[in-house]
Amino acid sequence: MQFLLMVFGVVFALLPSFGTLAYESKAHMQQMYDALLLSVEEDYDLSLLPSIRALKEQARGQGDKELQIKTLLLEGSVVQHFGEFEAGLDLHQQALQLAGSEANTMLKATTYLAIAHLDIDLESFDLAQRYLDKALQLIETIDDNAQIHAEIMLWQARLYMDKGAYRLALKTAATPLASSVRQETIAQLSLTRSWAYLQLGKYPQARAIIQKLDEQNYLMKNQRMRIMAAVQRARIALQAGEYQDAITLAQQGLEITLGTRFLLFQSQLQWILAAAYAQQGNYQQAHRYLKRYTVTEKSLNLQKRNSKLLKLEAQYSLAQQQQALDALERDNAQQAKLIIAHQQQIENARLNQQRWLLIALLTFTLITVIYWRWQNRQYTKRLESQVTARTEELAERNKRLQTLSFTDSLTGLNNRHHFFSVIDSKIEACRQVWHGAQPKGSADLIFVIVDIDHFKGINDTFGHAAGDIVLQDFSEILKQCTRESDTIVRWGGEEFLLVMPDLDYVAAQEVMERIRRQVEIYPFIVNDQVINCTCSIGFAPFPFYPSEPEKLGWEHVLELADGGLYLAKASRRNAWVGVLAGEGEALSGSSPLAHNLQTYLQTGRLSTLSNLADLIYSRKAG
Amino acid sequence: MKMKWVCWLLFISPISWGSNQLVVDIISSENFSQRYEDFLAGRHVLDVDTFHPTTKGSHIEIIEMVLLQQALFLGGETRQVVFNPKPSVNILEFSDLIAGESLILARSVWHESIVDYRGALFISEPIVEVGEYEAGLYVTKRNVALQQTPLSQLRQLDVVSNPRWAVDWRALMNTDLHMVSFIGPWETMLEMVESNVVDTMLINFSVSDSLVLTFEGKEYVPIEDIKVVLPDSRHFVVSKNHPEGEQIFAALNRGLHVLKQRGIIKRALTESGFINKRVANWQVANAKMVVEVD
Repeated sequence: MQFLLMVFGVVFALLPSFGTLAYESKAHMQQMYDALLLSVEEDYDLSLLPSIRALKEQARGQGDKELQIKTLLLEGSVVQHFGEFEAGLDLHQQALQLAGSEANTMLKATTYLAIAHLDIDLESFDLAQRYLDKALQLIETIDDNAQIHAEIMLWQARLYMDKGAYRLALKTAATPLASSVRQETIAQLSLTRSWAYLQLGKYPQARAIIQKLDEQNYLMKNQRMRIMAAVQRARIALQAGEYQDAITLAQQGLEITLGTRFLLFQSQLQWILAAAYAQQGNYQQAHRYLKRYTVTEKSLNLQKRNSKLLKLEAQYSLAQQQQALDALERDNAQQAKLIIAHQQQIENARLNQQRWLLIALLTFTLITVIYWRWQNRQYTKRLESQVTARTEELAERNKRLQTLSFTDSLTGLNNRHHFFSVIDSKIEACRQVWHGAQPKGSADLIFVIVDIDHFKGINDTFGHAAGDIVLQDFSEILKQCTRESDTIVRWGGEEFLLVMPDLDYVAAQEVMERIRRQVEIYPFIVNDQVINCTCSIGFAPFPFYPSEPEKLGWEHVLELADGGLYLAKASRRNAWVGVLAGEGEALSGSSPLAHNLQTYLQTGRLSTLSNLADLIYSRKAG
Repeated sequence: MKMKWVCWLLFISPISWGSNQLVVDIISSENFSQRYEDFLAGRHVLDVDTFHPTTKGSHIEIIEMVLLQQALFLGGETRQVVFNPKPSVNILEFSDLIAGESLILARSVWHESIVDYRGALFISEPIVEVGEYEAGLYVTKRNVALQQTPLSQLRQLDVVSNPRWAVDWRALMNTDLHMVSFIGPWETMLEMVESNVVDTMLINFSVSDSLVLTFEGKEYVPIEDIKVVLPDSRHFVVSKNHPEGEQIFAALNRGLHVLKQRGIIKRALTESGFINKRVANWQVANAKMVVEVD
């Protein structure tokens, strides 16, 4: 008691200085805590609470986590003792949270142990066991763990007692061997053990334990332990059949418990009294205490019910929280789904837009291409028609040009140009006839050169205009005397070339004669005067040698025809001379034929036909 | 020597007491006279040396009635035992015994229920030792999954029990099972199992081959490979305050000693199926609490 007063003295002396909380030294604060702890261990005095709370605030202010946890646990143990389990739970949880981040293993284990204590009070035995296991596991790493180990064993034994495992509790609460364990703890372990013995009906063992404790005088300090010992003493006497002792002891015990909150011990004492009186045969007293016992039990049950309710409420609120959490999670999931769906929609819309844009673009491109192609085609068509028109025009012009270039403007006959452009095709046609059909034995193509006699004289006498008229009229005569298939060319000046296909030299003689005759008799009217003209004609057949058609080319045949004309001119003119192949070796184109004409005629290698007898060189006459 | 002693007792007891009947109280609700007669099947109770069950339910109460009589006889109490049904309404459970109005009970009682009456009651040698009493966790037979529950999954099951059955309660407290407290008739508790309000209930193993318990046409089976040990011993109690108490208790203890020596108690418990061989190797759900103490 003296000590208690001293503690209060210290605490109250400190109270005014809490304004300067932060400046209290750590050692001082620890001292204060130790003093408070001792006081609480002796008795759970409510008047200690303000000091504990003040110390707690101070520890918080100074950031002294360790002390903060310790004070939280101390406060928790006090309020818990007075049945305020909810606040106790809260304080313990705060301590646990702080301890979670703390490296101090011992402190953590102490916190676990305090929570296990609370859970045992609340009959949450599973939870209590878990925290005890945790604490036990933690302290394995600590070297000097005898004290905390003994405390854990103590609470483990109490837990076993509460669960009715008396034999196991007995084993667990065995006195520790280490000397460093506090006598207080050893006493508590012993009391637990003796209670277990009593539960098993082994009162002599229990009595031995209590006697030993009495001798060592440990039970006086702590109120709770004092009451526990009183209960046990009474029960030992009861089991031993020492009813009067049991009654005395129990009543003494009841006196201590009056006004305290040790309902459990009260009910146990009342039960002992009832049982003792009943066994003594004092049923009136037995009945009285049984009634009291029943009332106390009811209160106890009410208390238990409250703590059960608290547990249920906690479970319920946990379940509710879980439900709310689940609902939230579901909601979140729903929201997430919605968002995803929305995003999908947006994405779809975007894709759709892109698709339509693409389609529009493609359509536009297609239309453009089609339009461009259509335009192009139109343009091409126009161009084509223009080209066609131009080509036609060009062809027309070409034709005209050709006609112009192939025609002698004066006579309207073909000119030498025309002759050279067609001669090869005519020769080829003739050659095909020669190769393909039966040889006819006579010339197929007759080359004829006609020259107007004394034309220079006409020009000189009557002028060039008159000469032109003569040429025009002469041309007409030639046209009249020839076939459609024959080609008439103004060869130059007053000289004309006739190329007559499919005509042998016999028939050619008649044509020549007709031309000569026609010209001779034709009255050319010049300057209102009639003049007469004659013409000389030379001709030769092609192929020249029917048996050797390739021996002489058309150029040589033309040269020979010109030779014939020369013969006619050299004679009396107004004559035709046809040069034909003679006898002997055929002539070759390599020698100048015109130059050697006379020789060949005379040697008989060439022969002639003529309207003039003197110009006829027959083959035989040679 | 022994026989001589027995003969002497047989001779002397009628003279000593002048009466040839010994009244043994039995609580009305525990009056199993019909089943008792069935079990005897015409045998004299002292001639019974085989204890095989005749019914499928629990059998221990009948065996106890037989053993009590044989023990008393062997202990020298030769009077014919008469069972006297009594209601159990009293301020204390054993009031009549304490007061000496009752001499002896026909049934054994849990040790822990009488520890505080040691001053008024003689407590016999245990008829059932600590650790011998085993029971099963019965579930409805139709729930096959429950029957296969492994020990590690017990935590998930609800067991119904009556907190007044202190030993049952303590046994179950030390298993992983979740306990549902119910104070009411045993039949109702079985109905709770039947209707799935709870999963299981602690019941003595049935002596049927398959351990099936049939009650009112419904079948129940224990969870396979799991048993629960009831952590206490059972004893006969004799009143200290009864004039004949001391003498009867002496006879009883002597007889029990003889029976124990002859191995009859063990045989009776085994043959009757109370100690069930079929579950001998099953796992104990509350194994941790069953420890030896000095």
